[in-house]
Amino acid sequence: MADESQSKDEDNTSNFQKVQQTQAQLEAIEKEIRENQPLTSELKPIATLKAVYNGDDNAKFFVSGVDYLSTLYQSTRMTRGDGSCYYRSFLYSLSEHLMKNEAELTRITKYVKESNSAVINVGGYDEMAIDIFYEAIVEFFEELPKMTPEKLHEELTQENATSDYCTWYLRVLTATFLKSDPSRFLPYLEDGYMDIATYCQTQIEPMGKECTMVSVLALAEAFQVRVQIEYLDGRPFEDKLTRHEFGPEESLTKLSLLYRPGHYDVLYATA
Amino acid sequence: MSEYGTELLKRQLTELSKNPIDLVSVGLVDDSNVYEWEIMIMGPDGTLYEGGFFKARLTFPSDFPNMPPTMTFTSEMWHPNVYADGKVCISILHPPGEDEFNSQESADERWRPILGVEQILISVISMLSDPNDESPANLDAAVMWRNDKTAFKKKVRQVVRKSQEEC
Repeated sequence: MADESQSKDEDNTSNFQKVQQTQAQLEAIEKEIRENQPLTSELKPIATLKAVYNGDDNAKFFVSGVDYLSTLYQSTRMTRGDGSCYYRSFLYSLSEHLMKNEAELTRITKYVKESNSAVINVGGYDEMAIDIFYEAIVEFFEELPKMTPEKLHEELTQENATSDYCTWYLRVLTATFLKSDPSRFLPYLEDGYMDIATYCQTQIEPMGKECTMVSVLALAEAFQVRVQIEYLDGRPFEDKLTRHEFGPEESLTKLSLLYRPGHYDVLYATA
Repeated sequence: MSEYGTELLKRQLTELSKNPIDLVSVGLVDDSNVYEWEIMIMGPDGTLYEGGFFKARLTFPSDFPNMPPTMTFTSEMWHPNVYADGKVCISILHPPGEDEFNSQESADERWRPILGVEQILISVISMLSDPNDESPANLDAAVMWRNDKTAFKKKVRQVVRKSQEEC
């Protein structure tokens, strides 16, 4: 009897230690990523993408994919691989486009400003829970016209600041859009999720959860922008990489992003 | 620490002081640090914890609200979902992304920035009313809860009495 309770004690302690160890490992990985990758990088030539695959014989379609990309794009901006890369890439690319198009800036600022009622009424979010993120993103879009590219870069690269606040709200907007039309999106949820609300709670709202195809679509349609994504995924291709496009075709704002397995970056077309 | 994390905590503290939720009072451990809260939870009526005054600390990380706070009872506690050191183990206090290591919890609600302190406190009260022995933090308490309710009740009455004496 005494032995049994002692072994339970040990189990309990080792379980606790295991959780702590795992937590420590996760924290170490996250710390390394934070130290080595900025939230968003400076512009880099497309060929930079090749560096990762140099000397890897199995990567031949990655390498030829980069060659293909160089015929269309001149540079890339890399985002940190922390699970929020899609939202950060989307926001950065969107901001740069809006700085060059006043009409679109006005349209999108208006959409964001008016989004809080849908977020509360359709998304079911508590006003108290979202207002601080809402205020942050509205302020960001309102200040865009005054921003220089350098200031934008500083703003979106700063740790624990604008990029995070806006990502929180972009996640809420994505979730709200999915909740606005559950019967349309339900069939596309992975892992057998049975309802949109649970999917949003576990896959969209937490920071660090990667954006999936269905949320890419939702965000593009919510903002009514065209998102073109080049898939550099190592699969054999003939003359072109696969490109998926989301959002309305006629939109004046067209964002180009790069997908590599599990990650998104921004692409810049050759002028 | 982010400006918004700090601002968010200040707003929530003000809100919870103005419109407190039942059974809970909140305050700061040190008025100059909004990242460390002192909580007093009264055991809900009709539960084993009825009559108890349990003190706890809510500690927010510097990257709050990206990451969740931790809640630790400083009063002695006996509960399947509270570790021996007082740390509360409920799904919404778990950071996202841990589920690779604990598939049992993958479908549970995780921490996300839009959750407020209020939701945490409500979950803790609900935890007191309704222990979850599926993924126990305190295995002995979970086994006792499942197999020997009388002993469990007795143990909880002890911590309730102790909390009253220390109050």
